[in-house]
Amino acid sequence: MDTEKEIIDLVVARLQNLPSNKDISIGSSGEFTKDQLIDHVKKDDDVGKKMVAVEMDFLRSMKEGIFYEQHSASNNTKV
Amino acid sequence: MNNTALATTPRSDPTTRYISSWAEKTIEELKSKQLQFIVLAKERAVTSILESMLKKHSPSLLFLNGHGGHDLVCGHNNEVLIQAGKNDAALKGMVTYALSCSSAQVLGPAAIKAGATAYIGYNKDFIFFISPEKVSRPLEDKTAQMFLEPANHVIVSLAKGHTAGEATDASKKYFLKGIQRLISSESSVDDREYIRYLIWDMRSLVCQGDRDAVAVND
Repeated sequence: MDTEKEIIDLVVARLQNLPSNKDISIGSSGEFTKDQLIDHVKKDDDVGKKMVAVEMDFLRSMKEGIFYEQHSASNNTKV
Repeated sequence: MNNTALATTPRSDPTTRYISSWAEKTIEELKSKQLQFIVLAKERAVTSILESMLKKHSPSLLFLNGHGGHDLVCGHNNEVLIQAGKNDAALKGMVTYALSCSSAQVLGPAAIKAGATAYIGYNKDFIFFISPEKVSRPLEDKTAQMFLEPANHVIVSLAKGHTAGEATDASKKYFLKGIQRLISSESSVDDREYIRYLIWDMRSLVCQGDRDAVAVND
């Protein structure tokens, strides 16, 4: 099993834990039910890739200890 | 600079209905503060009216609600309101907060280059959850509240006279408090599933330009 497939399986497993009675709004991509989201992730399309990005960001934030360190919450940039 | 704020609150679909309802609630609660809000709601949230109001009132703060992309923010029926390289100079001299997807990627930096004082926005999609049975009454949706209250805290903080940088940090802190509450044993297993999405929104929020800029002058 390659890493990409493992990640998709992980994200699908996470999404299955979402409450069934809620929809998710992803900006201009629209609103989705849990089952629709899982389909998008399995298809690995744009919406599915966004869900994978959320999961990867979550794993990174856990590694950074974001839950407990307020300073790590700030990632402002100057232009 | 005067203490006037301009806000756009389109309502073309469930997402814009939600963000605009919560934005208007926030503005309503700020009525006694120093900042005077002018709201361009629904079909008034279009380019021609926005540009005319920006010229007429020279607001110190622009609060955009709507769908967005890397280089743009939309208004009613997804009409493009502000776009990088087109009319980004309209943001010159003011603090802008865009509750919109991804616009801090290209539009924010372009606006700063064109003379905007500060641009607060999201460099990725803004994601939130909706309770389908509450779609006609977004303000009663406690799930959406977990996301939209911290997001609107940028405006609350700016209206209290805090700087753009402080307002951004205050909003992030609000998100973090919600996340920490969900981690605690008091929250339901279902609610804990929202944590990763709150973290996503919190980390996507950025302040560009002058972090010391303010929207309220004494």
